[in-house]
Amino acid sequence: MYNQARYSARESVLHRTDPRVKLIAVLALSLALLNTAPLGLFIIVIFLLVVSLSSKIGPLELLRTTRPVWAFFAILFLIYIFTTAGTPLFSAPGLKYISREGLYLGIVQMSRFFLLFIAASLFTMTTSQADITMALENLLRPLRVIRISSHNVALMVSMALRFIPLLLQELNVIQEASAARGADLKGKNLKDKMRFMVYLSTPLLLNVMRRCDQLTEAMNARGYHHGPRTYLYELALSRTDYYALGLIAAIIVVLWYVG
Amino acid sequence: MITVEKLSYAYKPGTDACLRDISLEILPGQYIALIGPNGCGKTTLLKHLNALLLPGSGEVVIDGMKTAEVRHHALIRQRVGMVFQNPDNQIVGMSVEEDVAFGPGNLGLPSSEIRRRVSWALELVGLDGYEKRLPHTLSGGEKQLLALAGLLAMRPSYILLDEAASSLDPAGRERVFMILNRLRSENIAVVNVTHNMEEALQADRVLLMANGRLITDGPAAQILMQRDLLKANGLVPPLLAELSFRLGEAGFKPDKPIRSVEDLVEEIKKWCHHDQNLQVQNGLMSGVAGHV
Repeated sequence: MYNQARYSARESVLHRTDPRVKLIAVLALSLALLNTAPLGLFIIVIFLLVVSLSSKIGPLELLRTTRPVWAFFAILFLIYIFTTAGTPLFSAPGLKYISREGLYLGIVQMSRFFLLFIAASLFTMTTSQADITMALENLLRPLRVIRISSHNVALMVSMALRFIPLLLQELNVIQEASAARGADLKGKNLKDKMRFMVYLSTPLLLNVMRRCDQLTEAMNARGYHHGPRTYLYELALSRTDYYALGLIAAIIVVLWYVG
Repeated sequence: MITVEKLSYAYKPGTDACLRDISLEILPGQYIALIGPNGCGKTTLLKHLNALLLPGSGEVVIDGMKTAEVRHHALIRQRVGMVFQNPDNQIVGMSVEEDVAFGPGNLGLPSSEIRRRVSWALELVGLDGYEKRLPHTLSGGEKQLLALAGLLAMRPSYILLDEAASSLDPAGRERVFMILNRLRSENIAVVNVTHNMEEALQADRVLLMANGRLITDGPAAQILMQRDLLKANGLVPPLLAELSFRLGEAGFKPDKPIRSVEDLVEEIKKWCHHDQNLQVQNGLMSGVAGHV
């Protein structure tokens, strides 16, 4: 997921669209997806297909981003078809019967999660991490009323994203250092690997704490404070963004209408 | 001007002090090398100059503002910028340009001014064209240059480098010192913590610390040529000091103190014009070079 659905800088309408609009669209579509009929799902498929083509991201490329969750989809499908009571379609010896309702629900629910994933991938593939956090910061600004700093929330998200590759590097270094001292895991069984991971977690945790400490100092040294701050770019909605918002609103109304 | 007056500090009350009775002044435009063995208190002293640590006793005053007064901290950190040893632990932004913009953003500057400063700082450190790159894809040296750009974009009057050039290759170091020289000409003071004595030799002034105390403070060429003083404090003298000492053992007596490579060359030339008695010691390989 991390590599496949990563931002890919291209020149397209979707790439140029304000990140707030894209984030709102993904959230609205996600909510609509949870409670829409097969016709609604079909409308969303057509919409996502058109959006994907307009963003110069091919459907196959988009489909590949779902690969890490195929197992999850399969498990979800199996749970629905084997646990939903209804008219038996067929049964096999030693197996509980599969109902028509179970098959229907399995396909619909799997499609919902699949489309949700595709919509999120389209968002992350056309929006840089910097833009995502900026959109988050902007959209959460009303939370100031209840004394929640949208800037701090956005900063936490951006830090978490920024530190993922760093922590992976750190883990790799610790693993290599352990292997250099004879603790090589190649060919070991799962139990040994699990035990080793617990052993690795101590230096990793200590290093993370040390990094946090130094990062805090570096941020303070660069004048970080809790008050308001300014940004490299300020987001501004263009006419196209308003059209996009209108389109999303129209789709949501249609989905609500078709149930 | 930065004034440090009888500064003492211990990380925990009741433990040994990391800084003991330190007094010094830093003037605009000075380039100072802060040297000393590991654990002598160099980084602790730097953190006091940026108000990251507050004095246990004594005081630190930055352009008339006492660091002990929290209300001055925002302005102090604008005036005094600091780059740490490990660049990974000081990069905040998710892209190169966003990281450089972090400091100016904290100052509340308008976006147009932030963009101007980001582009100026990246060009100065040679990272122009890297604006959209993810920081973790940069090399160690590039990350350190990025950290320096982040500091420069705040337009500080004083720059503190905590072994910031240690992860750079020779070309990167050269670039950093070229930038620092340019900044000195704009009256910006630089305090560079370093273990590299050749690097320290480039400074106007050297502060030598040991066991939390300021042992000596004076012109770089004077302090760094004191081979025995440096060795007594666990430091390796610069090649120039070692060479002068060895030449002295072979009978070389300069007319004036050696403070630079140019001084040494000049004195050797004078020495060569005199009648020389060459002594060749047992067990010592001696080379004779010259031209036809």
